[in-house]
Amino acid sequence: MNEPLSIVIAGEVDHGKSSIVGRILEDTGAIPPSRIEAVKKICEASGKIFEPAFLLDAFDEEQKQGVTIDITRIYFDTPRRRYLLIDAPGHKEFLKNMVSGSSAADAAVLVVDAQEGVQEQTRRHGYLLGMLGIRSIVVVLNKMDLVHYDQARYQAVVTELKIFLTKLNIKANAFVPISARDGENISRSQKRAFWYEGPTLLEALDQIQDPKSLTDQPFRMAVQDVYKFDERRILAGRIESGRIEVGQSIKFSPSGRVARVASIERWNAPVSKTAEAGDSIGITLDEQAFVERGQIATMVDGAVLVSDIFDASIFWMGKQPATPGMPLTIQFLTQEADCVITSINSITDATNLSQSTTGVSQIYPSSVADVSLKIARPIAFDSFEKIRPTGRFVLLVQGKIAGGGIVKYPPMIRASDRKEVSPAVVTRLTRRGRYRESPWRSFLKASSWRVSGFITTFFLVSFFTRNFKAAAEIGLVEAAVKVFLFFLHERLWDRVQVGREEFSPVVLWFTGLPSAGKSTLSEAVGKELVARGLRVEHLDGDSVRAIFPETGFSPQERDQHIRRVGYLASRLESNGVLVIASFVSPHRESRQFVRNLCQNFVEVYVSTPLAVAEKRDVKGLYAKARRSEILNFTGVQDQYEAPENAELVINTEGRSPEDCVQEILSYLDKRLEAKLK
Amino acid sequence: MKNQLDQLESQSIFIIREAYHRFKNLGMLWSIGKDSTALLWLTRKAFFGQCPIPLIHIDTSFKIPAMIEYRDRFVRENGLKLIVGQNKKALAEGMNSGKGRLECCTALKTKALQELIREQNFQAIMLGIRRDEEGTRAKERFFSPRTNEHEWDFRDQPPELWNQFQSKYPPDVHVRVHPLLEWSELNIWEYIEREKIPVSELYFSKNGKRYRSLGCAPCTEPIDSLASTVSEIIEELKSTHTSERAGRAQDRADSHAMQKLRVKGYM
Repeated sequence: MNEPLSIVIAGEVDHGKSSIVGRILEDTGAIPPSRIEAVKKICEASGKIFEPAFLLDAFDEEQKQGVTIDITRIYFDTPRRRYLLIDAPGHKEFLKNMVSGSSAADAAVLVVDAQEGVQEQTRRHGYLLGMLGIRSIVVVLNKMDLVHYDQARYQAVVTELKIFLTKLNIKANAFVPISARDGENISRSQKRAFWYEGPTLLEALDQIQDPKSLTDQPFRMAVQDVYKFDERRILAGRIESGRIEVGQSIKFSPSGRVARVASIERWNAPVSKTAEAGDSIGITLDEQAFVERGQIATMVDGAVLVSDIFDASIFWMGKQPATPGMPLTIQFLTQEADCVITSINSITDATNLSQSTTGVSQIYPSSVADVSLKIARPIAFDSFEKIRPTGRFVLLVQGKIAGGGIVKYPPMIRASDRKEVSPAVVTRLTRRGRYRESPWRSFLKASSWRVSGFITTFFLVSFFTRNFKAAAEIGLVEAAVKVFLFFLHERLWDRVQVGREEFSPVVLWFTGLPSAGKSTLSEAVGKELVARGLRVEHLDGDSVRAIFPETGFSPQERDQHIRRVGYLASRLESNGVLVIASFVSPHRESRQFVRNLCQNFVEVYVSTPLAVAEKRDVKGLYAKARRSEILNFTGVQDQYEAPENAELVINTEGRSPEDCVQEILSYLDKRLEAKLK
Repeated sequence: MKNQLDQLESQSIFIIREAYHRFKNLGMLWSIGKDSTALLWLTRKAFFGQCPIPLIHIDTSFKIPAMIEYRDRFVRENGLKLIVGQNKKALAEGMNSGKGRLECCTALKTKALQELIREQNFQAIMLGIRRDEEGTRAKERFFSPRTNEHEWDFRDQPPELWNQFQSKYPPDVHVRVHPLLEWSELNIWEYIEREKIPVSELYFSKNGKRYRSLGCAPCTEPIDSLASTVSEIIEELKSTHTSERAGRAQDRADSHAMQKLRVKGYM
């Protein structure tokens, strides 16, 4: 038997979630008739009409108020597979329960009252389902009996829903018109909605594909504890994704220790040399490596992120609003550390999906926000997009879970970053020194020059001849003739080929892995261009970092660093300096940011493969990173995102530097020619 | 692809290990029934054959005698540490189910357990309750905080998501840990069969009757059944339409009996 598909039922209170669940359970025979009888008896005793919802609502309070207080989990079967049903309540204050329910769900049923249409909680739940990464969603329009199975009403609500879901990037699998009371289109169609030809609710669920197996993803295991009950030192943990075999080398992050798996331990189970995602196992290592709870095991080259700052989307469930700087604890896999929100970058109002990015100082309960987090020490994790179980975490206030979040990576470029320098400052910086020539300015300049020329001629002639009339005439004639002469003279010099051609500056941006050969090439190209008499400025990572030693290497700090250097390069460029920049600049997004700032951005991707670069290891940094003496090293812990549209791609493997330099220079020459034509 | 039992087993082991890591003074309630015996088994799985968590049994003195025999033999054979709790004061005052089922359960089970927890200073205890047993248990959390008075505030429970559980509790809060919450009765029996877990003889049919749920002799009735092996029980469960606790009198004492018992700290 396969894993059951877990589904969450979400939607506005009173739209009939529990009734639908009750009906599904009754139709699939998941609830024993004796239990239904018992509930009916309770109803009779308390003078209420029996509703399928009562099968779930076990609490006195729930039946009295007609609201389901908490999540309920029940299994049911269809011929295709087994389902685990998580019923989430609709009351606003019960958001946390809904999230507890759907954080484990593979698919969702969004319930909408056909009469009332999309309501606040429909939107909020829809938004959360999207954020939690639940992509298989079946929408049901309940209480169709109350609108007399009217097709026009169905279409109207479906249109409304489609507009809303498109905004969330969610494509619903089906929009099923149902009635929980009549039992229409839940497990079978009685053709009350005769015009509807799509699947019933259960058919739509059966059409959902099995979720992608975590076993096929990179290996991740969080160490839960270390046991030493006998001579064995067993690291206990559960495999979150991927698989592991005895004899493989694994790396523990953030500590960076590497060891070989000596055995996989289980009790009262067949001996096996492998284990895979979902297994709670123990492993022993071939050496006495000091590993403790909180370390994340990966393959040696398993590029897990290690950082003490990152960006995330969080939903807040605390009783008090969250504010930047408020003391929090993060629980991320088995890692636990103090942390703070350093900035709230945007807040989404889940009810109308409007985003605010400015003046946000608090995250109110039940809202969703994009934030930057600072952790007290570096932790290991992945982006939620890459590996879900290792990309999500919870935040605690005074030991109580008050929020859940998913890691956004690469970090978002925020509106606030774009405004790093105010427009007024930019204008001032641009004007520094010279003014650009414009027709009006030329005219004024020429006129004032001619007027002063006339006055000078007039005074000189009058001084020598004492003839004021002649002086005025000579002055005027000279002013007029010289304008004409100047014009002819300029045209003539346009044709005289003496001196050097003007060169419109470019920003030559070298990117690539450490030790790929960026510095060697950029220095050689720089020398060559200086020899041609150009104004060249050479910027490289080491020299800039030497001036600003406080710049860190976390993904966020790297991006900040690149954006700053990019700004500097663009300023130099606009002042006629040819800029040669040599930076690892691992993230596509930050390079794009620089490209947008510059006029002529030439990206030179030094594409030397990792193995070759690591073998060179000019500064011995790869070796240090492999020993985890340094963290966030590109190519080892941090990913390098290769450019997709670089102007030049140069693989230095097996090529002489001179050869590579020549290729870059001939590209520049060609580009220059193209410009002149 | 993992089957459902593997998945449930793995999750329970994860929770047991989390509880062991989190609570210095952790106990495990062993009612001698199939669920808590499966829990004991899972605990040994979690710790590679060891059981570093002491067992607690609340003896009402009205238990079916065969249960106690099985208990003592099991403990002896597996070298386990067992602590037995009993509300001797209530028993001396003549408490029994004739004085009202809810009163009896509260005095001999709930109060006895509270007394023992106080005496032994248990910060948390693990219980083998399951969501499918009855309605109020369906609403439980894996880590369920209780007040000093062991009361359960089911309206305001901590969220549990992505296998993250509340980590810090004030010193006066007592925590119930429920590693078997997601299991069904059928899952338990399938697991007992797969793992060959020794369970009490009372579960197997004798003279056309067997116990489906074990409790105190006066309040627990056997059901009509011919199932005399684990696999026969599994077959029977697949076709049955009566609920598991139909033979337990306290559930029926009142339409919301279990809710009333459980907010006060009943298992």
